[in-house]
Amino acid sequence: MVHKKSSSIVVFLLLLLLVLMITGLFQGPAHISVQAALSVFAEQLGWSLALTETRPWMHTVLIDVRVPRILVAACAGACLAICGAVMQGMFRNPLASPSILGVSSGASLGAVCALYSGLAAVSVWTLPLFASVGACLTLLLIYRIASQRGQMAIGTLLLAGVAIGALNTSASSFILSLSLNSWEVGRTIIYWTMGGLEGRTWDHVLLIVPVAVLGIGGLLLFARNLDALLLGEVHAASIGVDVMRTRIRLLLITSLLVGGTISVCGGIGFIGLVVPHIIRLLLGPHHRYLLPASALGGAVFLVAADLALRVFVPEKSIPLGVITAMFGAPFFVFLLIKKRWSVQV
Amino acid sequence: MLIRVKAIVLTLLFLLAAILWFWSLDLRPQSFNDYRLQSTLVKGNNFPKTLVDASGQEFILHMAPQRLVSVTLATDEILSELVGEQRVVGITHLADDPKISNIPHQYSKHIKRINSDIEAILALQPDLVFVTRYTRAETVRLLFAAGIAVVRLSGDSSFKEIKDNIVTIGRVTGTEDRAGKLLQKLQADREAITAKIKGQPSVRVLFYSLNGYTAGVGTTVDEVIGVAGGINVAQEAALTGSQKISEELAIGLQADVILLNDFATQGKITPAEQLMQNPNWQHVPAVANKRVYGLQGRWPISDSQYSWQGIKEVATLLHTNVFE
Amino acid sequence: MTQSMEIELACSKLGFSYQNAERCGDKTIAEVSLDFAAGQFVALIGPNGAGKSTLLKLLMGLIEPNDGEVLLEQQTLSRFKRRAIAQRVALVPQDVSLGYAFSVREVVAMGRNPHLGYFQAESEQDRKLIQQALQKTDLLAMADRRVDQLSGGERQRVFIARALAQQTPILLMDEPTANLDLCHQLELLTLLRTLAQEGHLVITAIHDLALAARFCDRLVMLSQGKVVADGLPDEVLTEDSLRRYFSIDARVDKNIAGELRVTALKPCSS
Repeated sequence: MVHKKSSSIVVFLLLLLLVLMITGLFQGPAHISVQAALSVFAEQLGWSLALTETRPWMHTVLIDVRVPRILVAACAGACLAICGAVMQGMFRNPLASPSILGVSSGASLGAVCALYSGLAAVSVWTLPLFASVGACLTLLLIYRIASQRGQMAIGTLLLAGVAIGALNTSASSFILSLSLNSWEVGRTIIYWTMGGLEGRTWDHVLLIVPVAVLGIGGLLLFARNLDALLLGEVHAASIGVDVMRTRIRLLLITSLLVGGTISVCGGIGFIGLVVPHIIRLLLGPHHRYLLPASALGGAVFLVAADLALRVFVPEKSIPLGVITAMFGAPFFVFLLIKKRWSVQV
Repeated sequence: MLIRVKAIVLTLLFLLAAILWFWSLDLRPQSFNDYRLQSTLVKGNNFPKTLVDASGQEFILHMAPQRLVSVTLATDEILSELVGEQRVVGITHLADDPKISNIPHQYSKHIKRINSDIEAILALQPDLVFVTRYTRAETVRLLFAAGIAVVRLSGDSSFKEIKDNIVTIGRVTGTEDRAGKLLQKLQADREAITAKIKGQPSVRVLFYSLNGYTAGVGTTVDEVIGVAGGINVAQEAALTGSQKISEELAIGLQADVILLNDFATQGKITPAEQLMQNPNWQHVPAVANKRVYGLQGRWPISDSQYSWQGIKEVATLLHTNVFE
Repeated sequence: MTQSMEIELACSKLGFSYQNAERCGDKTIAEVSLDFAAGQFVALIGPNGAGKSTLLKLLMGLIEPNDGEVLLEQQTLSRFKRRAIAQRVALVPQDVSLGYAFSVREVVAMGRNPHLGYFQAESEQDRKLIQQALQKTDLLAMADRRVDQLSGGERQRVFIARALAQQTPILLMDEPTANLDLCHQLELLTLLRTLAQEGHLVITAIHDLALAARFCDRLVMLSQGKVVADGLPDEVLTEDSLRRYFSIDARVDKNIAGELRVTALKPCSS
């Protein structure tokens, strides 16, 4: 019975995601009529369906601006949410999120360096590269701090993550303060750190989609192991989970996912922390359903937030991170009130 | 033990791959110019002209563009002087802000005000877009791929750079004559003022704002002070660019004249009065002699032909006897 | 499950100490060499801190020894992958805390993990084994209740059921009777003895000396990390050994049913 309910929720989320994505294609600051949009898509796919006259700029907007933006939003939301679920399961800590290990702040620092030096304006790949390097260096550092003789102390790992994360954040702030002397740079950096999907192109899609597919697929393989880890290290080991190896692999995959996401959309907080909890309140702790449902839930969340932004406030460019918090928090509170006594810590 | 060695080796390999990949990107040293991306180069005297972007991309401009979009206030202002309004389809919404724009509401209402949203830009169907040196590479690439010319204007911290920008805009829009005339007029005005104040003793000037910012070497403000017959005390502190300094340092520079850049602030007391009432500043010559002036123009933050207005304003304030 | 008397699990010259202990010169486990064979029901006894839990974890491969080695099926334990070990050895640890809302059945079902692939769902056979495990530990009635709402003793039975569902030839148990009421204690030990008779190897650390003597056919006494006695209950549980290693004055005799009875009189004044 539990399985049926869980499966139907997963299917519902998938359908909701598709509906939102398609709606997002027809919304935006540039006014394109539905017929024109359909004609453009038909043309792109090779059918001829000229319902009305289309111009080349409509083509560019729909195919080169909106489609990539929606794809990036879906992938980024999925990556962040599933990483949050994995972190919470791995550390048995409900406050865990993708940013807990400082990996996301390391990626941010790399990206801020790319922006400040102006290299981000030179080539499309500079910023993702710097961000990934930042993420991986941070991970290596905290791993080195917390491990000895092949054993990893979880508490130390978490605290090392907090410490290095703080270091990264302060370094970013320092660079930001240097950049405020030149208004343009400072503004770019601030907007970037608040997260946004402005100007995402097919280059970004090419970057994040393979990372997301491989990473999420890899994490789904660990569903059973994560369930076992929830019982405790010793229990998990006695049912055949190589705790150390599993943890390292999970850390690596989540770091790559987080680094990739941040390099493509900046720091969008809140999704990794809250979406898994919302899903857990609905579905229970079984990672077999929790992981895919979190991924879908995160994708739905981000696509919906972006859509809401473009429908309701198209003129102002409010950063996405603000919207996700503003929408997510009340909904989370509503769920908490409804299920006050079922919350598990 | 084996895991650790493997991890370190893998990380080093990854870093190596990343560095190699980075090197393989087409970065040419001339793309950088004092750590800043160069402006677009324009080749050719008549249309069709070739635009060469700092990232190496070339674009052929077949004829004078008729649908211009500007993404910076500086370009808005320069275009307002060089190009007829019918050729402009999009300007920034900053252009209507009287606190920072020299041309508020000068463009008629039907011209769209935009921020840098790429969709909004594309919807205007431009044939040329003016961007900044910090605009993201993807945006520029997208515009080029959509067949839209992109012109990057880099410098904004000296008169020479602003002149180069004006020249570039003139060449790109086919209005070289008007650009030339504008520059001649600006030069003539400047020479008129410098002639008038010739022989006057130099005055030690501090350019300051109440939140602590001053202008050092390498800013238009610094040049203006120099041309207007003053000495920028910020140079003595070896400051470059626009920088925040401590109140202590500002007081210690003991300027004879203080120019306050708080045109945009509104309140019951003007910034000049506020500073003069501040007990810490009482022993600064400028305050003692009541030579603290609030600047009336937006030229300190302009990066266009309006920067030249500063010369007249500052000269008038510094050499009151000449301009009676 | 083989019926042969081959030595299935053995350790030779095992030595281990936790980080802090090393500095003080104490070794948690020192020079322990033991052989176990299928069909044995072994009790590990000893005072607190003797190293019983540590020995079990070493035998399972959860911690790596500083000296010596553990042999499983005559091969070094470190050669096996964790999953392969879990198919042969099941451990029920002492800790029963669990904060997540799994149902009893779900936790027991996790015992089938070592036999299932990444995405493989449980088969009919797996479900039957889970059902059997629940039945043997008297948990059928609460199979769908949430684990975090059970008492400590009930949770212990859940973990024991999980180990049973794992269907391994070797069972290691760390104080399985600690939280159980008398009835369930006896049920569990009877069950373990039956399993041993069917050919499993069962090693359990246990505090209750009388129960150990009654049900187990071999007692291994540990004190300060060393094996100080190994053999039949009669041989191991003597008043002398109890005084020396447990620091108690006790009387050992037989009760009406002819089973060994240990009565503790008073602690030794050191």
